[in-house]
Amino acid sequence: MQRSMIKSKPTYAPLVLDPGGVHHVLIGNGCGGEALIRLHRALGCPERSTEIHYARGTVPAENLGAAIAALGAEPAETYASVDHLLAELPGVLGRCAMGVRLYIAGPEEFLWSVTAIARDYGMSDAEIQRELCGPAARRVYCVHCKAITHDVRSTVAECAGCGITLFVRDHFSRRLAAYMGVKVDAEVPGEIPRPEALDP
Amino acid sequence: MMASATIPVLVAEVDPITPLVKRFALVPADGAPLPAFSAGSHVLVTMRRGEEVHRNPYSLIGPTGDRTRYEIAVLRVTRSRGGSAFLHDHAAIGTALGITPPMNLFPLSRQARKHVLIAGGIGITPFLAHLDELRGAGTSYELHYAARDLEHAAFADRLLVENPGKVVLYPSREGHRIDPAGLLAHQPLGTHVYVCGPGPMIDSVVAAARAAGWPPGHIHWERFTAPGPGRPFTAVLARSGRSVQVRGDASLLEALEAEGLEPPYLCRGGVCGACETAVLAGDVEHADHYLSDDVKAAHTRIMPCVSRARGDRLVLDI
Repeated sequence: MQRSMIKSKPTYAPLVLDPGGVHHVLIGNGCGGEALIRLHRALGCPERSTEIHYARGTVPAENLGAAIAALGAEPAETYASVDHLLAELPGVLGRCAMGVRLYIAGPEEFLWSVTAIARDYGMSDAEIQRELCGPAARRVYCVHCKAITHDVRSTVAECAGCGITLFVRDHFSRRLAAYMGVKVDAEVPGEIPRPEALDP
Repeated sequence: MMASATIPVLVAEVDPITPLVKRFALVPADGAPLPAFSAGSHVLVTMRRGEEVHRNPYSLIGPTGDRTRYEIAVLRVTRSRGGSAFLHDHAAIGTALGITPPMNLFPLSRQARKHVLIAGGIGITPFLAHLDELRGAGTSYELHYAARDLEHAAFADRLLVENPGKVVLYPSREGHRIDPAGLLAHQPLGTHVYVCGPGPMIDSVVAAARAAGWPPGHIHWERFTAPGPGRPFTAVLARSGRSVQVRGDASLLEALEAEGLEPPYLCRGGVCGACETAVLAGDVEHADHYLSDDVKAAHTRIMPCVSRARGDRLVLDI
């Protein structure tokens, strides 16, 4: 499979300070907290204007809230869940002015949920960075029944909506924050390939 | 764009707007619909009178939906090479001109949630069409318009009436000046800034936006540059061996066109890159805003629409 040829497959990179920004907003979830801590040190606060927003992960090992608080950044908000953070995010962005840089770290779905809200506020890619952490787990959009299947970890998965077996492609929709899933045995029903690991 | 892509038009209206600015309405000579255009577009107007030929860019002031006529507003420039004086002194109802199809190097961003428009002097012209579109779309915007005084601020009355509460005028003779840093601070996310006016004004707005952390994609400008006069020189066309004499008052592009050649071009103002030509010998006096500093220092490329030879001779790879 020629995965690297799919242009829509997002690429991620470690967060780096963008010195062109005048205010830096760090947003993380779960394991993404480590990237925020690393970046915060690079930002050399308090010389730079920053704020941190961190949502705990779903397992205790993914709670870096204490380490984030220990940074002593002001303001630094910790949220009980991603949903809580996303609910507050429009207010955060609404208080921001042009000159902001957004740095997002966490699982893939989180990166794009935050990006979607930032885009609603007119932010462009030049103002947003995304760093991926965690296992290669994908949201998959079934092109047949339109349902989203969460936490898919291989190239073949059962659709949570209609039950058919999907082939998980590398085509990615930013709007849906999901990868394309198509019926894997449409041509020869029952002939299902062996699942393979996903590329992160 | 080739020099021959010209639409014959006739002047249908001449309307003094200020002591130095005239509005011209142009209609197609054959009555066929003019090309549709988007706000921010400009056309190159070719004016001939005997041996005298001028070709200048003018923004279309709109409205964008009108395909029966184009409107332009021309500032009479005292130190010009004659194009604006030609229009002011010799263009009357019925005068025949040629125009290129419209081209847009200064469009509005469709992703912007707010537009900050900054105009200096005749730089107001592209914004007239922009404002039509912005009012129609209901997007948030504000216009900051600097001019020497209200008498010379073309279209000021109309702008104030059509955009209540969104226009601020800055008459410099009364000591009012635009403060770019102040304007750009505290703008909400998703704001784009557009500036059109004298070069130093553009430079200061762009610098202020960058210093305030605005990403380049949110900063837009249009320069009304025209080639300045310079020393005469010889252009040797390497592929044919021809030599072209470039007079002091003609650009290299114009000199090539006068010889019957049709080099590609678009903006004729040194910003778009369409006329980029390789240089095989001779140093270039660069006057463009397109080539990188490295390329300029290497003297391997020239923008013939505005740049010239530094010495007596250039050898071009055409």
